[in-house]
Amino acid sequence: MSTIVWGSIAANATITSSSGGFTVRSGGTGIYIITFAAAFAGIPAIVATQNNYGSTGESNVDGVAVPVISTTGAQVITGDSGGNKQNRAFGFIAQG
Amino acid sequence: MITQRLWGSIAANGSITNSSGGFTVSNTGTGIYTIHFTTPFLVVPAVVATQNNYGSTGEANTDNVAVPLASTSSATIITGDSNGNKQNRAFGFTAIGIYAQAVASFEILAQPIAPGVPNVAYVQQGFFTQITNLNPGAAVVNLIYDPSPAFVTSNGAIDLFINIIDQTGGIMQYPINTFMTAPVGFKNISIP
Repeated sequence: MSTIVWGSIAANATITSSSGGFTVRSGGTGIYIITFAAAFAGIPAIVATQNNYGSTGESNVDGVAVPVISTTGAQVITGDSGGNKQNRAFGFIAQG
Repeated sequence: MITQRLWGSIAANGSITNSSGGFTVSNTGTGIYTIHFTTPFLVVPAVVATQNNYGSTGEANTDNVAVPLASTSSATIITGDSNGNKQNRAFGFTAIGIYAQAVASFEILAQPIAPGVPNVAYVQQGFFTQITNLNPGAAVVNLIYDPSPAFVTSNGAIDLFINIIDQTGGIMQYPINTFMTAPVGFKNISIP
């Protein structure tokens, strides 16, 4: 049986809506540090996409990566289509 | 808190290849898809998406998906190539969010506007109704009441509210728009 933690995170690292069970803070421009309240039993799978840019003029290449994951937290990076880190709203699901 | 999770595998033309159900998709422009949730979320959901089924391993890993607009009732997805040019592309998505609050109890409040005595809550006049619903999930109630003091019908001039008390004791207040005059009461109150 797996656990799911999810959240919609604003560009300024505040939580717009969520399942609860985690905190998030900014770790720098385009870097978000998520800490799970209860550790997963193993490394969770995390998927994330930029959400709520505000217009369909956004580039589809504006991506999200999750370069660091542990059972207790994750680091998410967001940016523009050129790979430049920028604070961006995103949604994520962590399952494990 | 009850979570709704909707997912779908969407073809480049906007047709649904496979899904959880509970939504429709429109291809509203080149590389733009609008997903309408059949039952809205209570709050803006988290939406994640990835291009799927391009058809060959020649696809660029930067062929991404973004969700520039998300609300409780819909989400707009954009797809394109690795240079950011919008193109219709197949994608998979999951939208997850709060669907309903488990209701521990709820109460109906009416706030009449009486001549010379505006905005006096019924509860202050001795009128108070509380119905307890111990079953979590959505509820629909029909409430008939005998007003005391005598109720003067004035549709549109009376603000009605329902207070929802969830299992944590938290209270959320929603306006009630459906009011019937004969018999006096409220009908089909949907408790989210």
